[in-house]
Amino acid sequence: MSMLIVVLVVSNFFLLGTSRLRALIRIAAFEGLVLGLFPFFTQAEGFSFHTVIIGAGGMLLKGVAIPLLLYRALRGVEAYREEKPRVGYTTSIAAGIAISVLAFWIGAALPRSPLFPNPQVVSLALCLAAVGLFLIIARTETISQIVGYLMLENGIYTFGISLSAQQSVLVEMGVLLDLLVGVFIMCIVIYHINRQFESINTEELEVLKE
Amino acid sequence: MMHGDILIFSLFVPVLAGLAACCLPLSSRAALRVSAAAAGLECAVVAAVFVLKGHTSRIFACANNLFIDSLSLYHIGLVSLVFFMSAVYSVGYFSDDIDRGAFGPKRARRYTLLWNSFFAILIAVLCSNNMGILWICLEATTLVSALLILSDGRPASIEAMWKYLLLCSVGIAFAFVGTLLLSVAARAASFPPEESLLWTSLADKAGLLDGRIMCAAFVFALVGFGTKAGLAPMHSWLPDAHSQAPTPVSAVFSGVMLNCALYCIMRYLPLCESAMGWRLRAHAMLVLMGLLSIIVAAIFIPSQKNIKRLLAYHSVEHMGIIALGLGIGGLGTLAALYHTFNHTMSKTLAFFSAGRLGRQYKTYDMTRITGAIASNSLWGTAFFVSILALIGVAPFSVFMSEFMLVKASLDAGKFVGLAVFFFGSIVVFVSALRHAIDVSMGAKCSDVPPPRRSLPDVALVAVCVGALIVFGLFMPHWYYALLGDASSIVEGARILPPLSGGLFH
Repeated sequence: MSMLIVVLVVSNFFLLGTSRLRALIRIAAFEGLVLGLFPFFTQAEGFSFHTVIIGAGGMLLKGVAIPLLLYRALRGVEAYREEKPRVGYTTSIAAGIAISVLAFWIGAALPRSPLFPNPQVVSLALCLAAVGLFLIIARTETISQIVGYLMLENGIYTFGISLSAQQSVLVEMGVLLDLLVGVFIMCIVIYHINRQFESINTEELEVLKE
Repeated sequence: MMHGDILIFSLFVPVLAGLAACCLPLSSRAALRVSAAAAGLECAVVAAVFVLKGHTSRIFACANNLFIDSLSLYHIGLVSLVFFMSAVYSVGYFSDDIDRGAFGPKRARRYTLLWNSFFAILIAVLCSNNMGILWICLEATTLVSALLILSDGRPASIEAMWKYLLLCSVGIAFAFVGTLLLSVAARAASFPPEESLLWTSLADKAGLLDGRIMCAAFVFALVGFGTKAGLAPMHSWLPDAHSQAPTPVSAVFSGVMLNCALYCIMRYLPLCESAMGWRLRAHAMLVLMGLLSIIVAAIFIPSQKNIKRLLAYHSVEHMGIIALGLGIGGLGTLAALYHTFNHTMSKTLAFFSAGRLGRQYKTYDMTRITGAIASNSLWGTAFFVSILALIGVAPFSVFMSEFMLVKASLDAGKFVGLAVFFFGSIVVFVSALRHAIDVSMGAKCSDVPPPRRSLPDVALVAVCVGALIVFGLFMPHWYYALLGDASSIVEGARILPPLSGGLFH
């Protein structure tokens, strides 16, 4: 499992260092697929109905369905790169390193408790959520912000599977469905933003600025 | 099927029937009228459920995943009433658009489908006993209502929708961490897995939960649901979304959606405080957020130019007042719940009148709307009255609930909080009154078309103003008992100060 955590932390740096929107979606899809493997390692019962649902459901949704939706949204839009990021890429990677160090330090400092059987997974959850929030703040293209939102959700999903307490399948499925519908609606907004503003950059959205 | 299942499922029947009817190929007006009829029927069903519930404290359905108690029924009543009034208002509001062909059957169908889905999901939020389902439904309200903002496709509404969608989705994601921590605390206290997220099970044995985990859960819930409730400093989506949505949607957003988010916080409050031994840390956080919201509103209200943005900042202020009441606790909780109704009625009236005046003047810019009472006696007067009610002028019920809040803060010795509340309220009072006088008084504008008035419009104004005056001067016994029951739920296991012999007796 440590290998999977390393792979995810490294892919976070790729996410922070790339300006190409398609690459951003591909890395997010890869992370979604890898995260789907986690329940099989962290949950005590291994291959049960519950782990298959949250693992395979998560992989299908975050690794396939949502990236396809985002690709589709990009198809009709003339945007390939993040044009005007609020924070540069070198600074972003430096921020990523700081976030990772802090997250794993917090994980190591967590008191040993049966409530958090995998402190490393808690660190990973913190790391993913913080990178997600960083992307939402540091990038201006709507697609990058959606990927940031996905990373935040990934962090919370990871936090959920790091805990000893499982949620019911109904709640897990509901959360995944909300995420799918949320991204679907965000893609609809991208279409409208592109049509009205001839760009999908949020810097153009300044009609309501006070 | 058990008695409880029938009662709770009956709450969904009118809304789902309305939803199904809107799938039929109806004309625009018919689709809007069907929605209004469904919401009217829902009000009747809620009244019937209230009578049938009687003194039963909780009614369960769906293997205890759904339930109603006084707190949820009170909020369901408010949701149904505001949806009914807004649906009736929609018929007149979209009338010109329908005549111009801008609100055709296709658009009307999409609008009413979203409208009824939003209504049904809000009822589901309020009936959820499972905190996971509650979170899922509240997130779903964001998704459905975001599309309602977009219904006219203007650049400003697209921008507002994007901000609303992103900020609320990210905010609510934090509330999910709170939900996860809740289940961790429950499992650590050896709750059976199927009960680890059931609010009633948690509330009955909240003293067994780990205080530190519950404190963390409350912080996440407060940030998450607080974003959706428009509490400062997470309020930045609110003025944009409220000002850009079609007016009936703005009324529903402000009148009930924000309350539903605060309702979720009310459910976390007794759990966390019981687990932490009633050291009132969660209450202190609510006081802080409440005061911050009042200050933010006081800073932004004086400089507002757009009439709907002005009302949106009033929502931030009033959500702050409700949070302050909840944070003070005891009589403050009762005042907060009473204020919820008062704010809902006055804000609904304010949005209705602002929407009609905006349509008549073809602008929401307050510098260009003058002499509203002369140009449109009904909605101009209604706007002026609603602002008077919102800023807490007697004898409207908002004054009474704020007075109750002041008494609660004095009793609790929260003098600093009270001083900040007074300062914020005075700034809002003066600046909002200035805005209201500028808009309402003065000579009639010559280039403004004459108003269209209908019987439902007069009835809407009469109901809102009547409710604000009647509930300000007199509180029926059943309403007092309902508020008392609801506040004792929020107060958890604590013994409440005596509620009888209060301000009204």
